[in-house]
This record gives sequence, C-alpha cells and structure tokens, in this order.
Amino acid sequence: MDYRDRELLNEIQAGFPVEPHPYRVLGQRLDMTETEVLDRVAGLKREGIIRRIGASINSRCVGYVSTLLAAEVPSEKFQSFVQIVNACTGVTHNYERKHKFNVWFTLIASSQFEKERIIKNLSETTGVEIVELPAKRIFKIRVDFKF
Amino acid sequence: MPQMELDTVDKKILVALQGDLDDSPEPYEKMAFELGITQDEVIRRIKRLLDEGVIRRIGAMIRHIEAGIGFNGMVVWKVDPQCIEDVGNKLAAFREVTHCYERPPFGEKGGVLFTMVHAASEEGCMDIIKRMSEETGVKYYEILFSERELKKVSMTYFDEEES
Repeated sequence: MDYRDRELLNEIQAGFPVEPHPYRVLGQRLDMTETEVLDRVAGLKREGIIRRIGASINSRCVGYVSTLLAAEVPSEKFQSFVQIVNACTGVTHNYERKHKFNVWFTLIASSQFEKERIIKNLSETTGVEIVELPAKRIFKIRVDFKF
Repeated sequence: MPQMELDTVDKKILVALQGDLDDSPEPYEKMAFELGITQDEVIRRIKRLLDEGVIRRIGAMIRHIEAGIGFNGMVVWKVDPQCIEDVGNKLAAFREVTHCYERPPFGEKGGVLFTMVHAASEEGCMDIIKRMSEETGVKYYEILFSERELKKVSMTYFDEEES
C-alpha cells in the first residue's frame, strides 16, 4: 500500500460518489485517472484491505434492533461458544477482549422479540450467561480512519 | 428514531447496497439495469436514503487490521449522571473514536459511556485515551483491549423478503 493508496482510502471510506461515473469523480478529487482509481481499488480488494464498497445501513431506520452482548467464557468452553455465536447471522462483530468478560459481540435482529429469542437460545445452547448492554443514547457512529 | 417509509424499490436498492457494488466504471447503471429502473432514479433514491439517514454512508468497508490499524480499545467511562451529555459529546469529537454510546452501567466502576478507539498499537490507543481523559477531566475508566477479531461481517437486511 503506497501513499496514493492511502489517499484513496481516506477519500473512499465515506465519500464514494453517488454519480454516474463515481471512479472518474474520485479521480478528479485525487488527481488520478478513472482507470488508475479502478485499478487501485481492485488491488486493495485483492489484498483484503477493502472488504466491499456499499452502504452502511442504519438498522433502526429499517425496523431492526441492535445490541451489544458480553460474556465471561471459561477457556474450556471458548471454542464452542465462539463457534455457536458466530454461526448466528445477526452477529456482525465479535471480539475477544482482555477482561474478565472476554467475549464481546454485536447482534442485529428483525424485532425486539427476535432479539430476546436469539439471546436466550445462545445462552441455553452454550451454557454461558450473556449480559446485554443495549445503547441508551448514541453520541457517534462514524468509521472514518486516517490512513 | 422513526422507521422510514420504504417501498419495494427502496428495499431492493438497500439489498443491492448492503453487498459489494459492481466493479465496473458505472456501478449504478448496472444496478438500475438489474432493478429495471433508470440510473437517474437509482441515484435520486440513494441520495434521499442518505438524507433521511437510512443509509449512514456509502463507501469502502475496510478491514482495519489488514490496513495497519490493528488494535482497538473499548473504553468504559465512569461519568457523573449530570455530565453524560457533555462528556459524551467531547469524547465523540475525537477523530480516533468511531463509536460513542451511553449504555447501562458496566464493570466495577459502573461506567456508562462506551467509546471505541482505534490505533496501530496498544500504546497508540493509550495515548489517545489519555488525551480523552485530559480533555474531559474524567479519571475513572476501564479499557478492554481487543485480543482477537473473531467475526466481522455486514448485516444482511430484508433476508426473508428477498429469498
């Protein structure tokens, strides 16, 4: 990844143009040709740095509910717990963390009822207590890294 | 936040945008062709969905570990109830903070403000967290560093309707 890739990443994270020729517009902003932008994006995708180009959707606006869950998982149960949790399609992020509560994951579900059902089911299947910490107020959600 | 009025075409556009846009120079034209509408309509609707906040952003979703930003710290701040709004806004103003929420009390300190901080190293995260503490004057906080990313995917909405 060279400095031109970094400039492109800074620009393309949140500012992908909604216009007929988005790569040409990006090129104009970055002083690159449309072809160079397309080639660099393809390269960054090949390297696994860009996962996809698309929309980040506000789950609440489309009628879904999201929450944060934490669990204190003993080492002997760790692998099976992670496997079962990750198999759940509404689980979008899952991290092992250096804390007594060592597994933290997010869950998005189509309704409050569905969310409760999934949490109860995960807890019963794994035999691990799951703590829910739903957002009461959102101050910021903006993934905008400086590369 | 109220649920927006979305018609079938809006939903089809959202379904297309939750995946990866076509690699061609004119991805919205491709989408329009597949949806059987004009490119102008696709663009007009996407802009409306952005304005209404249904779409937060259109852009590249980046695997930050692969891109060199390999560490994240979840920091839980213990804040006086009267200061939550003020401190929350100050913490959210840091560029390195991607998420800032008020949640139910957690941990030994019972902190309620949760922030996600990203950096290339744990030390880098620590530097930012120290600045956040100085800026807000909040001294009681707990850091939960990431040990390993176990899963990271984008949500698939409207799954039942589409399948």
